[in-house]
Amino acid sequence: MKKNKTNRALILPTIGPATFVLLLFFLLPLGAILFFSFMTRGDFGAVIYSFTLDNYIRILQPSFYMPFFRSMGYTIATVLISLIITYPLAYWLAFYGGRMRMVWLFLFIIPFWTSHLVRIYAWMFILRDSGLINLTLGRLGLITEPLNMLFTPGAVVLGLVYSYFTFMLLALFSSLDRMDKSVQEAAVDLGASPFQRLLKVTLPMTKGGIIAGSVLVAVPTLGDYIVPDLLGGARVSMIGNVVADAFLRFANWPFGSALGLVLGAIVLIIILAYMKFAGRESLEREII
Amino acid sequence: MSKLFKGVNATFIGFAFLFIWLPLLAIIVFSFNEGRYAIYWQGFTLHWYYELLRDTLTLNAFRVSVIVTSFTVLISTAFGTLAAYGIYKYKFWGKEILRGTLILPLVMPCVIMGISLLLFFSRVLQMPLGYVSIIAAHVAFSIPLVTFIVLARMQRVDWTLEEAAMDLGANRLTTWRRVIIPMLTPGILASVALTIPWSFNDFVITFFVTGVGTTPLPVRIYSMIRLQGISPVINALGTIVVVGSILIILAVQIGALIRQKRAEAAE
Repeated sequence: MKKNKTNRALILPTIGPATFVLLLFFLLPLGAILFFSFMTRGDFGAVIYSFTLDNYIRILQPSFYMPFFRSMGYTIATVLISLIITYPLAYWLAFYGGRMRMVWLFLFIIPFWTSHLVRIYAWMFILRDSGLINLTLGRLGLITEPLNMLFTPGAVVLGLVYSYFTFMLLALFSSLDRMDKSVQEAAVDLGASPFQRLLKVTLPMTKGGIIAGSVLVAVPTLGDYIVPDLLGGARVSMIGNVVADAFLRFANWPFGSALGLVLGAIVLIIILAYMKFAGRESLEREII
Repeated sequence: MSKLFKGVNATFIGFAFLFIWLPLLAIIVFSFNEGRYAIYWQGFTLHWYYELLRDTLTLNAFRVSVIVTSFTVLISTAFGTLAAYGIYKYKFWGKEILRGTLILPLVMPCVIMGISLLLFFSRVLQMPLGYVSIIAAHVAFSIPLVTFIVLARMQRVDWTLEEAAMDLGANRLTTWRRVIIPMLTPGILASVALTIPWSFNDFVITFFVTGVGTTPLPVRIYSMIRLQGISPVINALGTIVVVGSILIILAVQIGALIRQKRAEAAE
């Protein structure tokens, strides 16, 4: 009984500081943009405190819902390309990596922990008209005019894949690594071709990893700002850029808040759907 | 068949490796290139690094980032570890809500965190943007990372040691200092290794809560890219940032390996 009492007294000192920070610098700010999203815009970035639904209605204009659809399209492409590139990689690491497989994995994910900004800048360096790719192709005599790669949808999707495939790699690797290899051997013994084995055994058994990886790639891709900003330019802007522009360029904070909340709601729906499917524990495990 | 399969596989892995490292290697190599327009290799130079050393704006931004990251790591490691302990040890109302809320900053798009914090600081709290707003934002997105990494470590720790210490008469503080923290050290170090580059390199959230005079390095790099486009000076700065981040993570990983080896040898 006494022990229980001392425990109770220690709950607040342990979880208190973190809860306070989350409340003050995460939840309250979200509440603030919810409040401002229903306010009216004044002149020169001012906000008039009268209730309106105009900011949400305005999103239904093509110039604002198009970036949403574009972001979703790019996100689907990014997830699929990451999956196709990463699956063989994760498979190789999990099955043939040997004792060094953690070192290999580490080498593949280190760049992810360096600066996202610098990594995307590095792609600008490579993709621009006088960049490494155009230079090499020109020297080889394969092209006479530089290929226009920067500021295209292709460059944006490339940058997005480069930015977030790590999440897919980690999710796939852990599910392939945990997989019971004897089932694969059984499939071979029973006469399955390598292709059949992949389709009927390996893929279904790693379904959890595929879904986890897809969600973890989709979520940051959908709201990305740096990649479309640096590699995309104005014509291929994504929703993250439109939100930022509403705040920084047009100083229309109520409208920017509404746009941001719609983006946040989409992300939340994806996350909740995933938690319903796989449980919160799984999400916590996959995130770190 | 098998040999062909292995050959194809090796080629594929090689390309994947190239895809991941080539962009970074390119800016590293060309940061030592003499030509300003950096199209061809024109000879080795350290000129661009000297230029960085003379650039007071960049040096100041570096200083700001070091200050921000130091405070962020200290505060978020302390708060995050305490929270992990509370979540792991105690039953309380709202625990599930707290765990769920801790996930949110990790999945919420940075732009949303950026605009919400900007609006909160400037319109609700009506305080000037600066160190406080940047560090508060960084602490908010770093705590969940620390908490989950330390929580994962807590599942692999022998908690009878804590009881033993208490039974032998150690008070709470001594138990924390002498038993709990040493047991959690691998988890805490791992979270520090991730929080340092995360905080130091964060651009999007920081961009929104940066005030005049407290520009951190990523925001400085961004404005350099916007102003100059591709330049060897940015290559040099990018090289320092990338190599620095990698060295920190490597150091902690190798340190963890050595600790592990030592612990195994001790047994």
